[in-house]
Parts: sequence; C-alpha cells; structure tokens
Amino acid sequence: MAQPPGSPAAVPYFYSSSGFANRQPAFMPAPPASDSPVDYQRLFRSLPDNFLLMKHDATIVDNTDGHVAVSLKSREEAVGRTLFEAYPSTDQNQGDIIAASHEHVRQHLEPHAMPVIRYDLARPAEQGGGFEEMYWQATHYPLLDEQGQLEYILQRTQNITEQYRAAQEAARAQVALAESQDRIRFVLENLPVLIWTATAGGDRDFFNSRWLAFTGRTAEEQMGEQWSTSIHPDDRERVLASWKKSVASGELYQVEYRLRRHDGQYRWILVRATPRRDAQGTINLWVGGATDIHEQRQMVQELLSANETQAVLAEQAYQLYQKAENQRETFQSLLLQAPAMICILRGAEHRYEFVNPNYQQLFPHRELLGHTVEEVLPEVKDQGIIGILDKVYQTGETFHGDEMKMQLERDASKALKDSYFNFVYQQFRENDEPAGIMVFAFEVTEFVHARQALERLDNAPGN
Amino acid sequence: MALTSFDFQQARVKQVLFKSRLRSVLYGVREAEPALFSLAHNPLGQWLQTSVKPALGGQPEVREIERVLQQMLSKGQDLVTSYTRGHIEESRAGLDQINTFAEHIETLLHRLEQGTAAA
Repeated sequence: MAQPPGSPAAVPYFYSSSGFANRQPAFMPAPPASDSPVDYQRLFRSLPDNFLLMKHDATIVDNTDGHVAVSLKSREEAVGRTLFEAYPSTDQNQGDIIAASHEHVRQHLEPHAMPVIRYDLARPAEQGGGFEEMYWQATHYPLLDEQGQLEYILQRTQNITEQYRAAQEAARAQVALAESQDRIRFVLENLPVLIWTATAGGDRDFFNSRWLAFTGRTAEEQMGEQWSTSIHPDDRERVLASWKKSVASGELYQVEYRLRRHDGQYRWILVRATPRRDAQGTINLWVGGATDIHEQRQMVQELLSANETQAVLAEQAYQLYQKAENQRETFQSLLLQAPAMICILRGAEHRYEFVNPNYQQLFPHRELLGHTVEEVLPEVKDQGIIGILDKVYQTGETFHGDEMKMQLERDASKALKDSYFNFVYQQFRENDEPAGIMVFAFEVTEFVHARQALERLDNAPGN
Repeated sequence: MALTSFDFQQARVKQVLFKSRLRSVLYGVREAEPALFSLAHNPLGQWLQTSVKPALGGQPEVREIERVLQQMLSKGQDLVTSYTRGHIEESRAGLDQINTFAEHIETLLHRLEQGTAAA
C-alpha cells in the first residue's frame, strides 16, 4: 500500500506490536527559558503522539518525534513546505479528502476527523517479518489566536487498529447474530408446522405465520391466553387444564384438540411443547409445535369402519359357507345311501366326480373317480353311450333309458356281460353353463331276463 | 370339521380388526373396551378356542400363537394406558411392536395352514 500523505509511514522499531508507550523517547526536561521553566518546543516534540503543526494554509511548522518516526521523513525536509508538498498524495482523491478536511476546519473552526485508512507497517524480522495490518485516523484541530482567528491547524494521527478491529469484530458479530436470528425465523416460519412460544408463566408470546394463517388471526389476537378462544368449546377446558399442569410441573405438554381454522372448520391437531431451561434448570421458554392430524384421524376412523364391516361380512360369509358345507354333506350322504346307482360326471369329457357305492359295485375292480367314462369304460364307446352323454351335455335334453342293454366288463375277467338298465342322464348347469351330467340308474337285468324267459315260454311251441 | 383356508382367512380378518381397533383408540377415535385386551373375549382368542383347539390343539404352533397373542394384547393395553396418560406420540410409536407381534402370529398361522393343507 502506498503511503498516504500526512499519515504515518512504516517505522517498525517505533510502531511495532510491542507497543507505543514503551518505545516512546523519554521525556527530557529542557533547560528553563528566561520566561518559563519549561522548553515547550522540546515538550511538544516529545509528546507521546503523532502531531503535525501547520499554518492555516497547510505550511508545516513543526511535528513531534513520533510523527517524524512514522512519516519516514526528517523534520528538516518537512518544515516550511506545505503538507501536500512534503507528503504527496498517492492519488487525487486522497489529496482532495485532506484539502476538504482543512477547509472544514477553516470554515467551522472545529476539529474534523478524516475517514479511517488502512496502512500496514512492516513487522521486524525477529517477529516474523512481513506487514502488520493497521488502521489509522487523522484529525485536524483548529488552533486560534487571541482574536479567535485560525492560526494553526494541528494534525493528530492515531493508531486506531485496536478500536477498528473491535468495531469490525462487533459489526461482524452483529451481522452473524442477525443472520442467525434471520435463519431461525426463516426455519420457524417455513416448517410445515404451526409453531408458538410461551413464557415460563405460560403466556403465549410468539406464533409463526403458519399458525396465524391457519387460524386467520393476528398475533395480537392470539397472545397471552387469547389463543384458547380458537379451541373447540368442547375441548377448551381439557386443553387449558393440561397446559396449566405442564406449566406448573415442567412436564412435556402433549395434547390433541380441535382448533378453529380461518374458514370456521374445526380441525384436529396434535400439539407438543417442550420447556427450555437455563443453566440453573429454571424454565425460561416453552416452544410448541402443532400438526394437523385431521385427515390421519379420519383415515383411522374410516379404516376401522371398513375393517369392522369386513369382519361382519367375513363372518356372514363364513356362516353361509358352513351352512352350505353342512347341506352339501347332507346331500352327499343322501346320495351315498340312496338305493340307486348314482354318479356325477363333470365337464364335456364326462369325468367321474362323485360315485355312490351302488354305482361303484357295477365295476368293483375299476377306479372311477377322477377319470373320464371313456378312459375307464372303454367298452361302452362302441355301444353309443359316449354319444348319448355328449348330446345330453350339449343340448340339455334329459335322456331316459328304458331297459337299455349294455355290455359291460363287471369283473376282471375281460368278459362282457349283458346288463339292462333303467336310467336317466340329466344335464346340470352352473353359472348358467352346462357343467356336467347326473346319472341315476337301476339295474333291471334280472327283471329283463325273467321277462325274456316268460316270453320264451309263451312263444314256445304248444302254447 | 377340519380347518380350511376359509377359517384362516377369518383369523386374519380378526387380527386386522384388532389392530384397527387399537389404532382407533390411540387416535382418540374410539374409547377402549376392556374386552379388546382379554384373551377370552378377543375375537382371535375366541377363534383359537372354538375353532383351532378342537382340530389342532396338539400343534406347537397353536400354543405359540396363544402366547404371542397374549403378549400382543398386554402390549396393546400398555399403549392405551400410556395414551390416556397423555403420552400420545409414544403410544402411537408402540404400534410398531404390535405389528411385530402380528407378523409373528401371521407366520405361525401360515405354518399351521400349510400343515393343514398337507395333511
């Protein structure tokens, strides 16, 4: 950094960080003058500060040793010249600021402080070298003659690094504090939660904008205990009692209640508040947060209704199922015990689904259930039986067999025996579709044989 | 009568209903009925008693279901007590444990059902 005019220059042995006072040349009293016991010029030059004395036109008259030291210019080189000649400005702006300050002093006859400037001083090599950041302030004071006219301008240049740094630090701390507060406020305002704070005594003293927007009230209308006017009348007493209990005991506050929304609708909210304690454990703040649980609560209610309905329906279905199952068992046992041959053939392939013992006796050596008629009774195919079954299944027309003859293998002998049956093939339907055929038969072989024997007797020659 | 998948379906419906009833108490939708936490009066407990035990009483799973169900019921009772004392969020958080019990019961029911189907 260039040296500004009138400001101290780098003289490390003088302005080093070890301090100003210690390096101050010792005050040596001058031999008394004729009219005074004090040598004031020497006293002036020894003053522990940086003074530069100028005439009102800025011509330098004298300066202190301190000023000589920091300005890096001998007194002889400076005295008699103007400030601007002795210590040229680095730029026009700097010079203008000094000239303006002088002008202020001339016009108003009052001290004028110039803006703080930064001017770094070289650090002694034994302290690590380099430059030390320093701040300075020059003030111009008017010195008046006996008539009150401006006689001199006294420039005092102070090292204000400490104060400057302290001020900077305070400003930074202030900015950081403001930023931190702004941040907290932003968080409080923008969380999707209704937030409030209360004093240790339980009076609400802050509501975030979500709370205010929700209730449609101003902060003033909610402060203290006024917030409770937004509680549903049926819940108010309970809620306030719970809050007072927590305030008195310091216990966590948790409560659910209906809060009136700006549109007049009451919404269920869940509120939770925690006390903040100081180092001594004394509560100094309550912070509370509320969430709208209305939908959640409604959903729980709806789910309960749905589940209860489902349970009732399931119970009814179960009862019906048991009833149907009982009936099925009843019918099955009736069919099983019926004194007729009964079977149920399922599907277009006529697969045995049910066979009663009377029917099974026809084919004691064959496994019928689960097989088709064609698989287990191959001998009936050529006798047209499969064709009849197909027709019944397709048309739904019941077939009545009357003393119908079939040749069946009724044991494991491979021999086919003539057998006569009275029977019915009847289609049954499920879901309005053909599902199978029920066979209901009586064997009439013996009856037919007896009748045939009678007929033979009747037709015998000689009758 | 032998147990069918229909019976196990019933048990599952009863289990869901229990959870739903407990949740509705913890959300302040419904007051708790004392019978909700009694093994003798709980629908699932009754089902165990009247349907399962006569058919499968000897199975270790049946005893285990009864034990876990008892734990689930007493946990449910604790949660309701906690709720009525104002520990709202804590009691709701406890529903997690109810789910763990319910899943355990479901696993046992499934095992029983598989065993029934295989028999």
